[in-house]
Amino acid sequence: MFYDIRRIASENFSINIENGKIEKPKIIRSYSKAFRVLKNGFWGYFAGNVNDDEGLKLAEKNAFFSGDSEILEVKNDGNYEMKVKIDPRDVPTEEKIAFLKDLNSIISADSVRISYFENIKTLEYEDSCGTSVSYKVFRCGIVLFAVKKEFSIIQSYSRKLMKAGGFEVLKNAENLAREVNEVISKLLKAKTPPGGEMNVVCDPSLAGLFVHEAFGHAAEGDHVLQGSSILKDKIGKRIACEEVNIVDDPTIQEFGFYPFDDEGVKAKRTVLVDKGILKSFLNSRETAKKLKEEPGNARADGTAFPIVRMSNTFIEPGNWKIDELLEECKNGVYLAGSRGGETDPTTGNFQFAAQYGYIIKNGEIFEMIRDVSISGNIEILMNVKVGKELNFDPGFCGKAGQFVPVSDGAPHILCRAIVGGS
Amino acid sequence: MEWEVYEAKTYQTFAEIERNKLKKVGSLFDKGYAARVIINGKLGFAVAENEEKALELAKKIAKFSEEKLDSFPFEEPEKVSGIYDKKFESIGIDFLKEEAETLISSASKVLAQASVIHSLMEVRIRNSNGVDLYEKSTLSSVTVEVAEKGSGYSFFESRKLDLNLEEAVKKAEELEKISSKTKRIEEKKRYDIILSTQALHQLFSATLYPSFSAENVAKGRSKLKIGEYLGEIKVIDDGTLDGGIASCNFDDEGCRSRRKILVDKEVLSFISDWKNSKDFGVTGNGFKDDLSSYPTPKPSNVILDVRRKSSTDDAIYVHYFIGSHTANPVSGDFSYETHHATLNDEPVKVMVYGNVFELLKNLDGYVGKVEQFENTVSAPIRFKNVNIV
Repeated sequence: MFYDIRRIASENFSINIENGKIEKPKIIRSYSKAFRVLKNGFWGYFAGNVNDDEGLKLAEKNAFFSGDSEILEVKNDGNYEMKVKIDPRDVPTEEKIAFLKDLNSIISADSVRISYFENIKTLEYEDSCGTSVSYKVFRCGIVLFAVKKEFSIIQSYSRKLMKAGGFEVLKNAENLAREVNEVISKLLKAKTPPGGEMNVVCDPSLAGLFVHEAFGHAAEGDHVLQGSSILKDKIGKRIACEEVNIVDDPTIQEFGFYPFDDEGVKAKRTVLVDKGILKSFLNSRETAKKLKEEPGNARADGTAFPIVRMSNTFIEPGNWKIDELLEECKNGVYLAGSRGGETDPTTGNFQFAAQYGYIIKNGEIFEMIRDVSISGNIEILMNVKVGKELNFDPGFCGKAGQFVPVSDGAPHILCRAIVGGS
Repeated sequence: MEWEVYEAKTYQTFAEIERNKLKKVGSLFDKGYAARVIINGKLGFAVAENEEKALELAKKIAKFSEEKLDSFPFEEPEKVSGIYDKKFESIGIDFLKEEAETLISSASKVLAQASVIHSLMEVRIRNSNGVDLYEKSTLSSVTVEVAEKGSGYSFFESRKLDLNLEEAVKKAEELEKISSKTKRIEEKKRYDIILSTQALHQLFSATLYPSFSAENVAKGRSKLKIGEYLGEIKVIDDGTLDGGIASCNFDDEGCRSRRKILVDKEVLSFISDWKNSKDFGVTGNGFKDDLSSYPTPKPSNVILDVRRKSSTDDAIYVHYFIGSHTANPVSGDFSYETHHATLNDEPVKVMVYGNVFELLKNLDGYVGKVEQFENTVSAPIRFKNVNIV
């Protein structure tokens, strides 16, 4: 019989500045435990704040059936405590408020909201293989959101700056506020996009969303084993053109950082696609055993049952300068910023929304467009051109209703997709 | 100092199937306290594992908060029926096994994943006005995902222990069939579209419903104005609906649940939390996303009442969209890719592009029977001349 125990403590402080005024400030503290038992190939699970013996008994009681689940029996140990330059708890609340109000004052709009959060998560993990690991990780972030109106036109724009680390991760927040101020004003004058299949230059934020949604979910080992991934029998095969390299790396100190996963496995970089060839999937200890791969990608939202997840997932930089990509695109659209997206890993079909964009004519940027989304299939990776400068965009991925911090990264890319417009 | 303590307990059991085999069974017990305090007219909020700690942290927040509130509510609760089923108290592992067996035996295709979840929730709200409210409610849900050539997905909920598991499997299998044969419509023109109850929920919860929030109206984040023509539709927010998925005796601040007509062709009212009730009236719509969030105005059951009957002829019938959360909640603009859609029974794929407020003005009529999907209660609705990419 295999068992594991997770003890999770979380301390969260958050505050909004809405139109210059403090709103919805709060402190959230929680502590709970999760217990898993694997007996006769069947999983029993219990979550709740009870003592360890009772928790394991309740989990074992649920492991009443038999099945074919197995896990890699690996033993890990280690402790990680994130060293931050500025512990957010040491920054006086008044200073945080002044900082946020300054950001608010940079943005001129009908409605402005600046949301700030700091989180400290502590995890202790132990299992019947002898694993005993623990960590303490800080995350800080802000989300800037602005709404502007003119006659009957109403537009919104938002940007996020969220990273693993202390208060220092917010040092470039002013630049972001200036960008929000600039874009929200222009959006009111933006036009509706053209519709149909066309050449699309995606900025790093949208290209990052693409690699997460269209590729990343299909590379998750649980989807592969469930038969619901278009990549299920593609290991060793070409799934993208030669210049595409895709990596998932929880060890980079972006928003998807973790030192150990929620099965006690030390975090590691995984090359998923090398020169267009699918090399590996992402795995839990169970999917790794079945697929004969490496574990380390099992994550959970609080005490939920850990499932295979991405961390910081990105397309590695290529050789194209942005000017060259625009020239290569010739006619089409440049799309920027992400408003989220969704994919169907079984078919590889995806849909995601950009925050704004521009018309490209003869390789040059022309008028601004808004409310634009694109759809396509993972096969578009077979014909993309990859830019030089990698940037990450943070967010929360909500697979199976479990929200975990991730970041998606990419340089600019040129692809062909269907653009939603008139 | 005025205070409020919101205590929440959840007992949950679930079973999960993967590739037609029962894979795991789990249970959880979750308990937490959210406290709000008002000190000198300023509101503080905190969540902790016990009441004393939550109150202590909330007081710290109130010291610098600029969130204003005069008092907490004091209302008698509604008596809503059909939100609690005593049978949930005796769910055992044999019952979960039986449910799993029913799901597996109903399937003629591969169930990539399927799960049943049964939750029993207890909420108690006490405040310094002497209010002490308690509610016990239950909720079951089934999710089925079929994946072969295409993929199909179904989701049903019930307040009772009466999930139609066979129906959930049948629906997911039907949608998988559509998804496997879908072809993009190449001709770019305007079509009539019918949105299933689920597709209506996907679109309206991302675009229309946020516009009824008193907070969004007050902060200039809503396009709606009282008296403005919306379309040939009546929109009712009803927290008292018998057995409704979003029904309750009182909202998350202790305000009584109510039935309100939000739209009768033109916009009549908005939904409000306690904070905005001075300007918008008390509507009993102060709901939390979860224990750790402030109550804000959110819809309960939204009934979409369309009187004119229409037909399914020559219209694209959209069962399910992908990417529905990507719409612009302020402007109402959206462009969604269909995941499951048919045109005269032939599977098709299109991107539907438009604005929810324009779409409502082109409402043609209802088609088929009324269902509830999450908090949307409606028959499928047909819209005329919609932009398709």
